[in-house]
Amino acid sequence: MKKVINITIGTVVFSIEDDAYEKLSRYIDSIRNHFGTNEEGSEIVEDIEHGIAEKFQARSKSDTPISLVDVEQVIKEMGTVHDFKNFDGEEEGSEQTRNASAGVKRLYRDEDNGIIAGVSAGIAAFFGIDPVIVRIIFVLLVFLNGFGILAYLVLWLIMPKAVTTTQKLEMQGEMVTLKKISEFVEENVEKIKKKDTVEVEKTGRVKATRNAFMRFNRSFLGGLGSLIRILLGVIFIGIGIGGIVALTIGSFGILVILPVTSPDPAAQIVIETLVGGHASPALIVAAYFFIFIPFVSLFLAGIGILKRKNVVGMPLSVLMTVLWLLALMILLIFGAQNAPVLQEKMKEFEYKTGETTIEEDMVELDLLMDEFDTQTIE
Amino acid sequence: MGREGEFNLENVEAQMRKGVLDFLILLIIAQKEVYASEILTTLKKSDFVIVEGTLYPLLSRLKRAELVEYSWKESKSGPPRKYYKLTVLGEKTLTQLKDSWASFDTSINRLIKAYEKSH
Repeated sequence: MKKVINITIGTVVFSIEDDAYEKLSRYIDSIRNHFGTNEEGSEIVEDIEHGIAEKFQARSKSDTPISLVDVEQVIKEMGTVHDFKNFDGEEEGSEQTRNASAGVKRLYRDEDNGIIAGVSAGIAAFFGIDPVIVRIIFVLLVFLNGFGILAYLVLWLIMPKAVTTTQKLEMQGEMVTLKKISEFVEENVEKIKKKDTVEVEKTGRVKATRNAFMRFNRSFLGGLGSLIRILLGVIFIGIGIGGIVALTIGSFGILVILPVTSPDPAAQIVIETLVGGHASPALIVAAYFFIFIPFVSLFLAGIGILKRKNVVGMPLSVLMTVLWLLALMILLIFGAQNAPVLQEKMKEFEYKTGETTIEEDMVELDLLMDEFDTQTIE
Repeated sequence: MGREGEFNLENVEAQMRKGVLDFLILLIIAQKEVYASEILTTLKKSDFVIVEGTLYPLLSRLKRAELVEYSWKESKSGPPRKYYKLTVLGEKTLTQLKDSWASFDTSINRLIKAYEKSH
């Protein structure tokens, strides 16, 4: 059983089956979108509609309602927007690139396509790449002393969220024109419509299979998404806890056990300078925070991913970021202050053991070479 | 998509076809008043296959350039059709295009002959 609708194309009335009508109207919409609604564009669309009407009239079984197959045949002959673009080839292409460069591209957070706060999706849209690539880079950066997390948090703070359609278009670097906005909105409405049809059961074999396919797709992708989410959360928590534990044991070892047991005299000197120096407590605390905070935020981020909710409030994340930066500054300052002392001690040590650094070897080699040169000249 | 500096045989051939398409359509319209489907059929016969949808923008462009004009005519079956014919300006343009095609043809053929002799 199929519903039949009466429509008028190019001043002629046709009976058309429900699913065929849906396909046809979507096709004509896409053409209208392509040619635009100005005088010239609407005339072309009208011409095409006339052409379609003519083809429907010339069908072999012109007394039966128009079926999906008929519509598909007509679309094939008439060509899709894709064909038109291909035909226009270079002209169209260069026009598009010109438009794209003319359109302002801005960095926004894309929460619609994001996992945590849409930072990666926003960056990906800005550079026109796949968000997965950006996410992988962030995860890899986490291993750089948790820099990935800090970077993410900072970007989260400074990148505004794309809320309005204009912002969403700017995010993709599209020229913000009225046409683009309406296209964008229509596209999204279309998406929502498609979702609805999944919910509402309708008769018709084609629709049923399409719905089933989409339902399968949605649950499958949804399942895959949450699997990735859980996996990522567990990895984050694991690295976080592991880091915290390792850091605690490690610092205990360095401060208490190592000085007593370590047979390596070079390590002794480093530790002596660090522990015995006048600024050591501040330095140790700073070093501890510097490594500790990224692991803690990784742990919290992991929990946040699992709970699908941000467990760290804005004040806490700001506090942690500030503390981390402070620790970094202290490390840099005291590190710079202590470096000469440490270097001095190391040199003494090397002198004692008769080792030379590579630089010294190089200087020696240079001298030898010079000697060699002067000899050959003579 | 074929960019500048990138050679692609299909692309070059497509460009050749595209370059003469307006000329061909003017030639077809010049013979007698025709409507879109007839133009398409003639094009297909001369091995210029384009989807129907690309023809309408071309006709619209020729019309805006005032090279062709159309009049509505009822058809026995189906909707009324736009029958196209050349304007005076269209005739002049066609003559010019024919001349440039002829000189184009001559110089290309001369080069081809020179090439064939050398082999």
